[in-house]
Amino acid sequence: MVTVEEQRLSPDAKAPPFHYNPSSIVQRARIAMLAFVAAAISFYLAAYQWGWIEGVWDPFFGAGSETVLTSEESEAMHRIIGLPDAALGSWAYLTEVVLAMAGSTRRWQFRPWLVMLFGLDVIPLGIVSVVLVVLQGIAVGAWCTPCLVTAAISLVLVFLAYDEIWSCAKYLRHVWKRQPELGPFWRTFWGNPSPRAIDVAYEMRS
Amino acid sequence: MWPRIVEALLGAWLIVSSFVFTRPEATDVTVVPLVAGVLVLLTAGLATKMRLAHLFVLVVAVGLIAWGWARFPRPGPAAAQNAILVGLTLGLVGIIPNQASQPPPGWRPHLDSGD
Repeated sequence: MVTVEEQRLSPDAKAPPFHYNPSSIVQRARIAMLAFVAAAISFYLAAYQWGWIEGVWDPFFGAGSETVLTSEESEAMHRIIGLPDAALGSWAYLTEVVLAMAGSTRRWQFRPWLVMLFGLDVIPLGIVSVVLVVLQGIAVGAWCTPCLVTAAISLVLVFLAYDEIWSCAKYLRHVWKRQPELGPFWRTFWGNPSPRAIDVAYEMRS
Repeated sequence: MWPRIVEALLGAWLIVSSFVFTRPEATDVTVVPLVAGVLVLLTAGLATKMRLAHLFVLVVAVGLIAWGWARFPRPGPAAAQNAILVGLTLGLVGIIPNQASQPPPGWRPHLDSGD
């Protein structure tokens, strides 16, 4: 006989189609740690652009990093956004740290807005940042090892983050199919579940 | 509650920075971060009692970014860049709810523990 207690939702549940919880602390902490490393590298590059340090350590391209960071393209970015491009990059990685760590261990179901915002932050922006680093290297004709390392980290972050976003999208699709009405769906998206959204959550239990 | 603590720290930094990045010919370089810092500190404190009050931090963040971006020819002085960077960070932290580590209230009755 199933008790009422057993029928309730676990705060730390597997998220189909995966056999693990993509919102677990361990899953998200590794994303946050990797993004933090990229934020620190970017801030180091920004420190050079601000003139706080005299040079940039680059094991493969020598003065290539400094050429990239002081290029006309980089200066133009500084004039447009008002900050060195590396500082903006550092902030972008910081957003990934914060958005990775915010939320409970079942946020793929409980706070879809947060997971989708995290997904928008990591996947499209991550890919755009990689493209920008590569284009900048081609345009300037010089390469920067720390920039390429952060770009590589962006790609790894996309790989590490997609499972949670996929689970969240799958849950939202089920909710919409069950009750294709904008109001209840909208409230569920913002963490205030409709009765049908709760039904779907019970049905998706593994 | 950690987002409110981070906001309070950033508010304190804004107040300190208003006395660090001074420019004698431009008093707003001191006044704008000072006022913004006080508003952020007050909002962070109020938000511990009032749900959604933290969203006012987003208004301050937008104001700081707009001021830092438009006040001086870019790239602006340290005060302007500080305002943009702190504004961006406030905008990031300001969207995080007070009890972000807990499930939202609507879900809590359906959980098998107090989490």
